[in-house]
This record gives sequence, C-alpha cells and structure tokens, in this order.
Amino acid sequence: MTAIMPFDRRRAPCYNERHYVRGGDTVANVLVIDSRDTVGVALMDLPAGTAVELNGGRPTSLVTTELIPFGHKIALVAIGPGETIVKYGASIGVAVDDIQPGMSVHVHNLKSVRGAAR
Amino acid sequence: MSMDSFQGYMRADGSVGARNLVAVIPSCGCSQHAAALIAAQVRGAALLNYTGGCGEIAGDMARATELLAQYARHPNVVGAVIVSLGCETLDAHRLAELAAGGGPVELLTIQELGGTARTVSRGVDLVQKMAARAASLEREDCPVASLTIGLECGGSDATSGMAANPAMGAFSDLMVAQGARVILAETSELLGAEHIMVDRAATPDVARALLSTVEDCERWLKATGEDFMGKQPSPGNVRGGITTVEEKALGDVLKGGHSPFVQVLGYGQRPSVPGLSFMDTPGNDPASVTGLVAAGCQIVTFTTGRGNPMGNAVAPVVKITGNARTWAHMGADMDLDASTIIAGSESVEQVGARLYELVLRVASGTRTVAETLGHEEFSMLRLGPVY
Repeated sequence: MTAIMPFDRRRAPCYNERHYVRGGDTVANVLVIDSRDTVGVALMDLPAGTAVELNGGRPTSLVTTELIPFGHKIALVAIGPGETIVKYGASIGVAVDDIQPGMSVHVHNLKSVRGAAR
Repeated sequence: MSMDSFQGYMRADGSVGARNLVAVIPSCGCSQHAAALIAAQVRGAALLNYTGGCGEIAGDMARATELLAQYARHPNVVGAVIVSLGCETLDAHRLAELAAGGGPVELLTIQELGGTARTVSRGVDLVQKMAARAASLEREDCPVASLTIGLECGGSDATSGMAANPAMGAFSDLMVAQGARVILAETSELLGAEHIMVDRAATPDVARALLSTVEDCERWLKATGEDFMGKQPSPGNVRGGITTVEEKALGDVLKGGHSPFVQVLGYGQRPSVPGLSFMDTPGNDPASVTGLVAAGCQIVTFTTGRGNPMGNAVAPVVKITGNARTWAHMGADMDLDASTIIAGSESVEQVGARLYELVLRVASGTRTVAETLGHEEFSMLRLGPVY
C-alpha cells in the first residue's frame, strides 16, 4: 500500500462551490477543483497561448504553452520528476518529466503509482 | 424533513417493486436460445442472458445459482420461468427452490418436453399468464425508504468527476436522508481513493473491510501479472482526459456523496441496513450493474461522460452525463443533463435534486431511455475458467 495524503473532508469536496464557472466578472476556462491542486481542468479546448481564467475569479497570469483539450489537465505550477501531482486535493500519481506551468499533464508526463504489475 | 413517497407495487414479502416483469431464466448456455425465444414473445418478459451452467468451477456455479434466484425474487419481478436443458451441471431444481418466495416459479426442461419448439410453446403460455396477472396489480404510495439504489459510472471522462458524479453524490445524500439503501460499487476503480472511503467508514470494522477489499483487488491484479495502465483507466477514459487510476478513483468516489459507509457487501449481497454501502464489483459495467441489481436495487443510476447506452434486464438504469457534447450528440441514450454544472447555469445540488425527482418518477413507472430502447443487459461476474 502506498502512502496516501491526508484528506480533509471539510476542505476538499469540490461541490461546496455553488457554481464552477461564473466567478468574479470573468468566465473561467480552467477549473481548479481543490485549493491544494497542482493541476486544473480545461473547461473548453484551450489552444497554445490562451490566457487562463480560473473558476471563482482567482487571479492568475498563467498562459497555456500547448493545446489543452476540453477535460484535460493543465499544470498550475512547476512540477519536477518524481513529484506528486495533486487533483481533487489528493495524489493522482507522480510526474515522470519536468513540467512547466501552462503545460498539458497527461499520460506522457504523469504515471500512476497504483495497480502497476512491476 | 418530510418523508417522500413514490408510486410502487407492494409485494407480499414487504419489498416494493418499480416494475412488473416476468423473468425468463436459462439454467445453462444450451437452453439460452429457447429462453430468448420465450421472452421475445411476451411484452413484460425479461430474459436473463446466462450462458454458463456447465464446465465452471464450483464457486462460479454456486454464485450463478444464487444470483439467478435473487433475480427471480427481485422486487421488480412478479414471476419466473426457468428453462433447463436437462443434463447441465447447474442444478435447475435447486435453482427453482431458491427462486421461490416471490411470485410463481415454473421449471421447463427441454429434454423432457421434447425439444425447443414444445418448450417455447409451453413457456410462452406460462409467461403470458404471469404477465396478465401482473397487469391487474395497482401502484400505491410507498416510502422512498423502500428503495435500494445502485450508483454506477461507465464511459467516464473528466466531466464525470466535475459534474455528473458530484451531482449523483448530492442525489445519494438525499436518498440516504430518506432512509433508502444506496450502493456504491466498482472496486478496481477506487484504487487511490480508499483513504476518502475509510475516513467516512461508520465503524472500524467497515474501515477494515473497505481497505481489505481494495487490497485484495490490487493483490489479485498483481498476481495475474497484468498492468493497470491501458485498462484502468480505459482508452476512452484517457481520451477524455483521465490519466491514472487514482484520478479516476477520486472522481468516482464523489458518486457516494458525503454519507458514512455503513456496510461492505460481496458481489450481489443485499444490504441489511439503510444508508450508503459499498459492493465489491468489477469495473466492467454490465457485470457490476448485474451484481447491484441482484442485491435488490430497483433502480440503478449511471453517470457517463463519453456516453454508455446500457440498461439491465429487470431494473431501470437512469443515465446522467456531465458532458455537453455527449448530451447534444448522444442525448437519445441519456436521461439527464448535468453539463449545466460546468456551464455554470446550475449548481451540483440543483442537478442532484433534479436526479432525485427523476428517479422517483422512474420508480413510479416513467420509462428510462434504456428501457424504451429495449436494453436488457445481464452479465454475471465469473472468477474461474470455463473448461
């Protein structure tokens, strides 16, 4: 059994926020489910060079460095190889490459630590 | 809080049905065709597409016998016709005994009756009579507490964890508050989220059972030499933006809302107490839903980002998508649109409340799209080889 992150049910559930998208005066194009997350989810196809607008109107200067398709993940911060990647406030695996803010995070740079035969 | 009700069929054993179906049950693969011909002739007949019965390990044979009998006694089922070949290993007489206790049960044996045509003729007559008797039954006010609801997801994408699953979680909490039984399932899809479930276990025993169920699943998987990558998440999940089994699990577990876990169930096991339970089922959707319905679920709710059309032989399956593209493109296979959560026009709680109202309507007789389209999936978990 791998180590698991402590889970705080009072903080974590993403659905305590009434609405995902409308926050502040802008319309979000990236959803951050939990405040501890190091990745967000694209709410629409985001071509390279798109300025990111986060849910809840949280300020950010993040810009996509490559296409992030709808539903796919974008790095919110720099993540080094071997570092845990966090979504839903919990580990979804480890980085296997250098990941810069604004990059796509998917099978090419994120690997599971569970259910592997080796 | 008010206690809500729906219009159901009160059964003699105290259970409440949402449908009046006659189960046609082949006791082996060799009698499956005759059973299918019988079921096709009568509206209100439900074929259980069982194809085992010979050359299976003892555990699978025992499970099949018990599970088929549970379907015969299901609250949505008013009677059963078992179709046996006559020489199979599965004991059809034992199956008929176990199936008794709900509605009438009849056993037809092809080798005794003299072939397929005579069996089908006799079977159609029996099923038609049972269906005709059921037509005179009337619906009555029944408490929501008499419902058992399955929580399932399939064809997941990133919208499942963002919209449809949390909405199902809000729905699940409403059901639990009414005293209903709600069952979360799919063990292999919870690797990486067990800490959340353990944190919500009602007792230390439940916590231990949850952990050992997930550990057994992972150990068994490793023993096969298989690797989850490429299977969990599935290729479709990956195209939808889900990368790892942990990520899928964290989105999956949202279906169970915030309620404590009160019981851990084996495949097809009926929950003995109200509240949220967990059932050890595979991630294979038809096999998981088949186990949930065996446990007495009158209705299964099913979230699907990419679009899964499936239903079940005896239980309505209500399908919810959080993906606006799937709702637009495959809406004919979907019952509820949860993409409004992502668009920002509805909250998770609002969609959960809509799902709750829809499920009560379905429990009261409204057909799901899967029922309208004739879906009757039935696929039993099998642990051993067929030899």
